[in-house]
Amino acid sequence: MLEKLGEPRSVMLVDDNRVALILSRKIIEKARVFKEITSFQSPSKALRHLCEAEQGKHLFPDLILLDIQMPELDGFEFLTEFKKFPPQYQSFCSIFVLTSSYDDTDLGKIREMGNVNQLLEKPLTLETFISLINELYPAYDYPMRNYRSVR
Amino acid sequence: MPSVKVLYIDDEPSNLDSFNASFRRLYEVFVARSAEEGSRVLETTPIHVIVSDQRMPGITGVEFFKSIKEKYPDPVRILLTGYTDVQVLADAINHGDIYHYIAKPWNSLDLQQSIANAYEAYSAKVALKDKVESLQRSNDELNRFVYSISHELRAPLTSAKGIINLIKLEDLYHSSGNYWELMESCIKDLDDYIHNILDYYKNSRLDAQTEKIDFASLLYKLIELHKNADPGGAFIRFNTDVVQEVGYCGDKFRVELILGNLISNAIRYQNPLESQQWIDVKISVFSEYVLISVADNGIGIEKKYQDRIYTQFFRAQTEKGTGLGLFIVKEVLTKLNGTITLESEPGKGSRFQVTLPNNCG
Repeated sequence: MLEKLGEPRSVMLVDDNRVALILSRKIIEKARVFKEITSFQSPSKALRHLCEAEQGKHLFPDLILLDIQMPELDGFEFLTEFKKFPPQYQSFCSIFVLTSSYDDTDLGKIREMGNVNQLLEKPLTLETFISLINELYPAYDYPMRNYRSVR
Repeated sequence: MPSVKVLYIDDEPSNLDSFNASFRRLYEVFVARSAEEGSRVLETTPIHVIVSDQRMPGITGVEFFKSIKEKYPDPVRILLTGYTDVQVLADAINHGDIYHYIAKPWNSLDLQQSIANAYEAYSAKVALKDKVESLQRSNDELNRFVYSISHELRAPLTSAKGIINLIKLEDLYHSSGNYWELMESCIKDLDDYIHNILDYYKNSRLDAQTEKIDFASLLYKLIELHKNADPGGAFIRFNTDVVQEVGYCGDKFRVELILGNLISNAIRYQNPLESQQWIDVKISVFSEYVLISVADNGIGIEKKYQDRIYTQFFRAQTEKGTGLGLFIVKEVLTKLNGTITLESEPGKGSRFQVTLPNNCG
């Protein structure tokens, strides 16, 4: 049985764009909160990794950052597939959607999915990521906790 | 003339015979002895012109035309009648149920002329319908194209922004003179441009929607947004005065577009030599309308340019902006029945005043 942990452990990144994936990973590394970062350019490989994690072969991620516009299997299909995991995994893992779209038609669709915490605008900034971690793990103390970017 | 298909409906067989005799060499003639028979012909044949007698047992010609109008809108309808039913006739013409009427007994020359005119009307109607459909199609395609292109353009652009963010985080921003700063400003220009194009298409595509708007929170949000998006934003003093004692209902997306564009312009066209740059935003909501005023002590706009600032791609300053902002504002105002006025003096500043109807009532 999985429980929401007091501190971040593993984060999964899913984005078909190589550069976007590298950039998100860099930001997450700079926050220095996750022990493990897995990144997938292929959403179906990401799903396979989750299935294996369910069988205990990997850590099940406590956070997924998901791109919504992907050719092979889009974010919505990924979210639908994710709903098939047992409820304890669903509540354990928080999903955030990253989008570069300036169109809010996707927003309604994402809300309807019901299993997305929040929509984040690309590019992911360190400031946004840290406030997200502070919200998810209110008791977790780490060096970057009070980081504010200087404009 | 191509083969014109004419349906003639009359309960008197002798009339049908003489119609056939007069017109079968000119048109493809279909005859029916009753409204039901006529309907059956319409089911199987694409008829161009229908000629019907008014007085038939069970149903009148006008009633028949009314009954088929929904299902067969294209065929042009001619009614044959005596002078007795003037009121019925007037109503039918006024409702667009019939195109023409011919007094009985008909004279074949008149009727031939009427059918020719009717066919012409039919062709024009169908051609117009085709044109509208093809325009609608290409318009839809264009919208889809613009949307997908904009999304495809934005994805790598946000990555480029992300790279600049990392460069700043790693303290490399000033490592190559001002190259990164120049790169960042190019990215911002391109992004602004994409925003503008999408705004323009959204404005032309989406129907106006009415919802309640709280101007104080909207204004606060927009000022924060645009202040942070512009490097010079932090040095500007914003004075806001929102008086909203009555509710306001309007199209939030478009109101936001107008207000956002005016604010970002006021930020963009500040006077760099001014020691205290300021922007005053006043919003007063009345039961009939809202008055929005955005004033600044920026560079101002020369008199000779003031009429042209709402033109697509026109820029009073060659270097700055996309040349689409005020063009979009004007387009949006046209859609919402609003007005805009400008007072400006070069070197002193500008004041834009917008009124928009309040749709709460």
